[in-house]
Amino acid sequence: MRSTLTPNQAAVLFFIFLTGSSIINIPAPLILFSHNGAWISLIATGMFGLLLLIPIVSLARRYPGMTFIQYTSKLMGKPAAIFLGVIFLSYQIQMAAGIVMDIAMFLKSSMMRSTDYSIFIIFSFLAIAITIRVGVGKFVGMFGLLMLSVMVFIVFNVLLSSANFNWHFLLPVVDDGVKPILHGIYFISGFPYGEIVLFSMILPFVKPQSSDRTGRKMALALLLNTASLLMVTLATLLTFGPIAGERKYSMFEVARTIEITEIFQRIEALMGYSLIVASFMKASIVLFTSHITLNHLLGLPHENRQLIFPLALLCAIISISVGIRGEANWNFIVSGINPLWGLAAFVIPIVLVYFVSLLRKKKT
Amino acid sequence: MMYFLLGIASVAFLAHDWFIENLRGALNRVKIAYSILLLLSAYHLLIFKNWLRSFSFYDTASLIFGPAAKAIIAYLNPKG
Repeated sequence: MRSTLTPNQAAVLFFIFLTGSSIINIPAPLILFSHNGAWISLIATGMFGLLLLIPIVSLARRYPGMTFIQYTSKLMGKPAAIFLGVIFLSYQIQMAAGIVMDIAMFLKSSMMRSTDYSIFIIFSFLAIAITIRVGVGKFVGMFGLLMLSVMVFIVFNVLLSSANFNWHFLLPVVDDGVKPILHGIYFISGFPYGEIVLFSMILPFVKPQSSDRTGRKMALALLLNTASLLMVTLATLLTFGPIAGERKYSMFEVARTIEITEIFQRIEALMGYSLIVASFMKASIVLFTSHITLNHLLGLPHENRQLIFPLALLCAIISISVGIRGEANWNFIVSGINPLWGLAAFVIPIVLVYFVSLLRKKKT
Repeated sequence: MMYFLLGIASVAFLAHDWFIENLRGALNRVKIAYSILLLLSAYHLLIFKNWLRSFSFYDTASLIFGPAAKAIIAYLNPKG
């Protein structure tokens, strides 16, 4: 099992992690909350993501080869590491379950209405569990090519849909005050920007090099991600205007509007492929890191693969049981609880550990 | 169909982990963690089937974060 990454591979994986699934899922709810100011929310949260990269990269540099659980244990003691690690793991399980549920919801609502959610969820988790067994060094190679195809299709979609753009839809920008923009910032500070803390579990796999530019490359990946999200959000706004926020899977809906001569039409299948592939890659990264987290909580080496299956099974059943309290409850979990959970499980712990490391540095 | 797929996948992976990944020779804490994860899966399946009325994973999260999340969303809503 090859388990090392080059800085370039780490940056590609970071871009995939940030962009996968969010590029299709973010525009509609973001526009619903922030209206025409969605782009302002995106830029502001992108800056928050850049700031959050500082503690992640600094800690990885200071404790080479150590994951978040390991350096927390060293800095704050084992009980604190276990406490923070369990909360950290809980959020990763919800991320994996939520991402795969999203694939299932998309497939059921858009393509295969007679098939039960659970079938998509079980097959997706089977594929994910088998993928992460081969090791991060191998699957990141495959993911790079898949993500390239996703981005080509999305740019192609935006270019073709530009024929339907109505530039008047961009105005007015802040007609309801600043609260809608803050709501958008709250929503995307959890998904995808708060989630970048997960890379504190992946950076130890990056091979140390004499001129280490991993941080800069990751910052570039984050800026590219923000630019991509801006592109699709503006394309959705320009195509649908005031009703853009009601269009779920907005890039899929944008693709449906394309009709240029008789050659370029019905290209939404490409967006369907993009959503499924991008979500699959992101879910694989999340299940991989949750497995590493579990291994380190138990004091096992990260090469141990014995717990992948039961963890994937638990995520699959949690994902299947998402719908038992109804769709409104799930929407509240995604838009209301998820950002707060991310803050408590990811953002506050990494900032806390970073400050403790700074204090320790001053003392020594 | 769902239970058939879950059953087949569970048996296949358990056999693979037991014989190929050498789960039978693993440390006790690995076996305990493996069992806990399987038990948690069974617990959620019982809740899903409505055979057990208890807190699921997301119900627990809603209990912890729900009130604060509702307050934040109410504050951020320009219409109150």
